[in-house]
Amino acid sequence: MTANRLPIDSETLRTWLVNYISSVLDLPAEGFPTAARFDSFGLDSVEAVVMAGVLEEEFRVPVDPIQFFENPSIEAFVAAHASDGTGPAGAPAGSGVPEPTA
Amino acid sequence: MSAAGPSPDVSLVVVCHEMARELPRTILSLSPPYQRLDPALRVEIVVVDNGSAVPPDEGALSALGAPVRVLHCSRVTPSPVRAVNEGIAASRAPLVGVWIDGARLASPGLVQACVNAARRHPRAVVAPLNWQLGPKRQYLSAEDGYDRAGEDALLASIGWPEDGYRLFDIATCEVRDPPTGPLLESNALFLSRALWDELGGYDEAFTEPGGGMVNPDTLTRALALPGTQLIRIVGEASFHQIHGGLSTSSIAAALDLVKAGSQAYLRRRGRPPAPVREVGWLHRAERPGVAAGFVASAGSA
Repeated sequence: MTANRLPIDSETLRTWLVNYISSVLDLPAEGFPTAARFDSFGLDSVEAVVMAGVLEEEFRVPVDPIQFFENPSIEAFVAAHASDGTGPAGAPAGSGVPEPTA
Repeated sequence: MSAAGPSPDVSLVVVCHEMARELPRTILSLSPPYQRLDPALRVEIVVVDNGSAVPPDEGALSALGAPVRVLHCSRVTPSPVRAVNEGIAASRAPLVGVWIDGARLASPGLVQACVNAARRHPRAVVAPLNWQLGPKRQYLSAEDGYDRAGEDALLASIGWPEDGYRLFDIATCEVRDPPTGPLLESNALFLSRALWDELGGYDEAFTEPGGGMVNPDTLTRALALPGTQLIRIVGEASFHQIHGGLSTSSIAAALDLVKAGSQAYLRRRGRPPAPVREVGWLHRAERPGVAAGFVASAGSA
């Protein structure tokens, strides 16, 4: 993320992520496990990068896909990057990339 | 070499751009005797050069073992899509395999396995898995200094091409949980000519450098055709040689490429690109000591 927080509030960002991921994975949005790691429900690394691109396109803000690896759940990402996020702000880009698995 | 002669059973369309180091290896890997083929099977290789400063030498490539025709793309662009489609149009066999990236080596039984798999279903979409040479995905390896010279040494370390199956010992699969994991693309996609025609080939709207997400798009569209059947190949694969390509040169380049490609895809298709989660059929290649035929069957196209 070029700026550590996005100009999107927590509820909007959480809802967008739930809808996006549930749509991609063909899972119900209702009751989606927002605290679960992305890889626990099969979202792979390429899809995380795609998601960054789509989020960027949707909200017209720069999104660094590395932040999906550093904050690997919906709740962690929202806390780190929503405008009103309650967690520590996301780290600057390029602070480390886990080994992608796909 | 002209297109005259007996009609082939399978055509391999190989697209290249500035691959003087990689292409001869690729062609060697697609030619007998490295490529273990039924003696009755007739293979043609159609190389389409997409604007290399020094085009490939048809005679030198044909000397590697298989008849090769080298064509020159009529409209050179940063995207390989036009070159792919011209190769498909120029090919003659009823089954056509496409190497959108000519830097991909084949394992020794890949072509025969794809031919056999294609015979299993009249509307087969045959998809070998992608691997990359080196200890990690190449955009990660490159950050650790992996380069052409390192890769040359790696290939020498297994005595390639002596035993092509040892490629599996020095490479990394692109698919998580192979062979059934999410499949974004196959860089050795085999369809019948009728299916290629029905599909309209690769979509030339994908004008981005490298074609962007055109290869995932092609797989997705092929599987959306009515009655098609995905068949994943087990035990054979294609292996990417590092060559300065956009998606394998560095982490930053790979991330930017996927992100930009995804945005272009979203604008073009109205949905994000997504890997295929359907397992389809698994076709295990016939190799010594390994049972032939299907090892599993799950779902259908």
